Amino acid sequence: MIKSAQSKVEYLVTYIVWGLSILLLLSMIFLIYKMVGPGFSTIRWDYFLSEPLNSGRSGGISSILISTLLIVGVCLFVAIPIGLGTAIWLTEFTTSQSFLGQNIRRSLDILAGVPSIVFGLFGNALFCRYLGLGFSIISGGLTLACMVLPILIRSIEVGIRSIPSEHRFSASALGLSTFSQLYHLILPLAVPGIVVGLVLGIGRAVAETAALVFTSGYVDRMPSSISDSGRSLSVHIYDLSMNVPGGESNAYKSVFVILILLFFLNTLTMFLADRLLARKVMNE
Amino acid sequence: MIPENERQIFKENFDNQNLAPKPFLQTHELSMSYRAKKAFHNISMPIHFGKITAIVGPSGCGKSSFLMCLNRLAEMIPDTQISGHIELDQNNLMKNGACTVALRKKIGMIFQKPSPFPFSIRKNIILPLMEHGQKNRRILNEKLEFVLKKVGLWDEVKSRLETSALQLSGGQQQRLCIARALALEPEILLMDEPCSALDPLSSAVVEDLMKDLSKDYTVVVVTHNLAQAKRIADYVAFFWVQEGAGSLIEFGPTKEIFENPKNPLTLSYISGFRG
Repeated sequence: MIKSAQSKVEYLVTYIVWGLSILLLLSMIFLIYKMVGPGFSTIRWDYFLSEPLNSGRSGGISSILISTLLIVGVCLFVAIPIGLGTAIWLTEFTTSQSFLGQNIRRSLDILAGVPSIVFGLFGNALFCRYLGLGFSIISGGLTLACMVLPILIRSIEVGIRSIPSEHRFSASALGLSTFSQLYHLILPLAVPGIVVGLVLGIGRAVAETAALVFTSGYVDRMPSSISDSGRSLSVHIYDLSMNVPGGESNAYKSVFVILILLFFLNTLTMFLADRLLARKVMNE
Repeated sequence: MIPENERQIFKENFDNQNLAPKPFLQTHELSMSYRAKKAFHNISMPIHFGKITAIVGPSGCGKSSFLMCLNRLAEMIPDTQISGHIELDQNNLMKNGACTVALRKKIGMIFQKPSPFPFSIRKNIILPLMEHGQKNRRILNEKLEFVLKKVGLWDEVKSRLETSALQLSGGQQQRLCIARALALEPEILLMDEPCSALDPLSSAVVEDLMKDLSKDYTVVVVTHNLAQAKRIADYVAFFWVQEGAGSLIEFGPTKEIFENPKNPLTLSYISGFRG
């Protein structure tokens, strides 16, 4: 068989691409092993069920898990309706050239890159002080919502814009109202974009540390309500590894829990998006 | 809506060609521009009741845009300006308060590319009906069967009404789209090159269907295919680009346009010298 120069280049490129992928995969496996390994081997069920003792050196993380879920819950409860609404407004009610639409999009792109510490200080000033919510789960959740919204809106917008315009034209030609076009056609077809936005948003919310230190505080007791202060898992990990001598083993366990939590929340998101929206369309 | 007796009179008028037919739909100096570019300019033409009107002409002469103005779909395209007016049954369609939902129920549209929704075959037809207030399941099923039979699709799909419409072939999808439009009982069907994205066999089926539909509906069809226009149309409108915008060059009965065109441009287009 004669190999031309071109086919040699093709072989080379194939090897490079494979090599890089394997390198990436190995480093991911190594990372997860290093993070999960120590926690996985020592974690017990009662770690999830008991409250932290002695600044978290012993005991569990029940109160922290509850606080985390409440903070993320408040964040999504606020961010999802506003995010969907804004994305729909940007795609359906403004043209891509309009002054308002263009500037809102630009602002969102800038906001998506703002460091979380800035959001934290903003949340502290607005929610904790100006609105008088104090260091509380609700302040933390609202601050996270502000952080998550730019990513959420832009992903949903891209999802909606990727829908072929023929669908809109034929729906309008059949006299379907804007509402039923959205409900039956546009949103179900935009599910991939919505899921991407939510997964990225949840990831950012669960991982957030700096913004929460300034807004939801870091007491580790069980929160009595959402207007009480609460410590999130990421803050707990930060505190155990930086401020509490002898906290490493429990920090590793929390790292394991946060990965499980992310996996669980993402799976739940995909499941719900499929159940609520994607079932309405049949692609094949 | 036109009362049934008047509809009969219209038909009789056409059948004995002696009386000058009154147009059913009439555009008056209709112009459309997209940003700074004019799509078509000052088009005044009648659409006659119960007849097939074919709009022919080269690409980019505003045929499709003109068609999309007739059910006010062109307004959905950003940055378009439309002037002039369209009269249907002596009502001005371009009036600001005119209800586009009711209008689009009355004037159905078929696009060049078959565009069924990503739903089941049944839902494709039933959803618009439900949207327009029909909730009775028995009537919905009757209409579903009626329109699918009308487009000759019933025997092909009756055993798989719940499967995705996207599994159908191109020609079947286009017929489903026609059935979907017919289910709303429109009076006028606008067809934007309904055969051009189909293979020759499907194209022939859809063409026969168009001929058949003209017994019950007023049809306006945009086509590139002169032979097709000659075969099916009762009236032909010939569009050409003049001074950078699409213009109506000639309008008349098909026989006249093809055998005795008044405008030299029409003659050179239909005989294949230009366009």
